[in-house]
Amino acid sequence: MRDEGCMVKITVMVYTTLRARLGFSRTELEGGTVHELLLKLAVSGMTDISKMLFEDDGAVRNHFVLTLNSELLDNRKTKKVKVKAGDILHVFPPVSGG
Amino acid sequence: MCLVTCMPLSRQESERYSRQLIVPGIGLRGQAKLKNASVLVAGAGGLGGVVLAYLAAAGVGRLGFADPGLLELSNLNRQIFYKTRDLGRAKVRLLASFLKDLNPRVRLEPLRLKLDSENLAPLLKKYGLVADCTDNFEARFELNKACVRAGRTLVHGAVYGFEGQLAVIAPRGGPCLKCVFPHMPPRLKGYTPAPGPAPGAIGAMQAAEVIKIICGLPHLRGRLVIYDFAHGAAHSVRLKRRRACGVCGKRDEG
Repeated sequence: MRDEGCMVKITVMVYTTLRARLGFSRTELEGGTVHELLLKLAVSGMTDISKMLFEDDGAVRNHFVLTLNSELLDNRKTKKVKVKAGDILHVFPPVSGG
Repeated sequence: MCLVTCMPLSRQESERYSRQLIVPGIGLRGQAKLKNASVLVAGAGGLGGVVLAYLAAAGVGRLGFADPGLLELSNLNRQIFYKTRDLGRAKVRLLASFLKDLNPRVRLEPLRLKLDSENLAPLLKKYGLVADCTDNFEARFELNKACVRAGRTLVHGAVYGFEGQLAVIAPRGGPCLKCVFPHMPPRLKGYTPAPGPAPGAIGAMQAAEVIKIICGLPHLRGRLVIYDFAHGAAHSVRLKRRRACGVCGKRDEG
C-alpha cells in the first residue's frame, strides 16, 4: 500500500450506465491518485465494474470522459494525477439518446 | 445584407415576437437576424421536435429537418408534437404540418432521409447552423465530421434517462465532438431510457443556444454541460482540443 499521508478523501460523481451498475450517482472515496480512486470506485458499488471501466492493460477505457474539478483528464495519465482533499472527480460516458 | 438586417417588422410580426423583442440582446436587430437565419435540425424525435418548435416560434427564417422515420407508438411518451391518430406516417411530414400551424411565415424544408457522409456535405452548404438531435453515435460522429469540414457550428444535445448533455461545437479551432469523445462506446443492449421531460428540457436548451448564436449573444461555445435532472445538478466542462484528433486535428481522415 501507499504511504497513508498520500490518501485524501474526494467526491466521485458517475453518470448513465455507471450509475445503473454501481447503484449510486455520488460517493466519497480515499486515494492518492485518480487511478487509485478509479480502482476503488470499480469495486465500491452493487456490481464490480472493473471490466467496464478498464482495459486489460489497466488503462481507463477511452470512451469514458474524466474530469477533475471540471478539467478534462487524459485517460492514459491517471496514475500521474494526484488529488487533493475536497476534489471532485466526474466519470461519464458519451450519451446518444434523442 | 445590412438592408435586410435593418428591415422593420410588420405589425403582426411585432406583436407575435413582442415578448422576445424586449429581451436584452435580441430586440429588432436580433429578430431580423433570426428571420435571415437558416438551421438544419438532424432528427425529428424528442430533441428535434422541441428544437424545431422553439425555432419556428422564434421566427427563424428557414428550417430544414431530416429524419427517415415513421411515427411509432413508443415515440409518444416524449414526442409531444405528434398525435396518436398519426401512427405510421412520416415524421418530417407531420412535423412540417405542426410547425406550419405554429408559424406560417417560416420556410420549412422537411427531408425524409437518413443523413450520411454523402448527403451531408451538399446539404450543409444550404444552412448556416446545425442542431444535432439524432439518436445514435454513428449519426452524431458523422454529423460532427461533416460540420467541421463545412465550417458549420453544431449544437449538440443528447439524453440518457434523467440525464442530458449539451455542447456548442464551433467549426474552426475546435474542439469538436471527437476531441471530447474520441472513441465510440460499446453498443448498448436494448433501448435508451427516455423519460419525456429529459429530451424536452435539453431540446429547449439547444434551441436557446441556437437563438443566442444567431443573435450574437454569449453562448456555450467550447463547453459541455451535463445536466442531472435526477438530482437537480449541472456540471460544466471546458472542452480541450486534441491535437491528434482525427476530425479537427492535423489533416485528415477520422
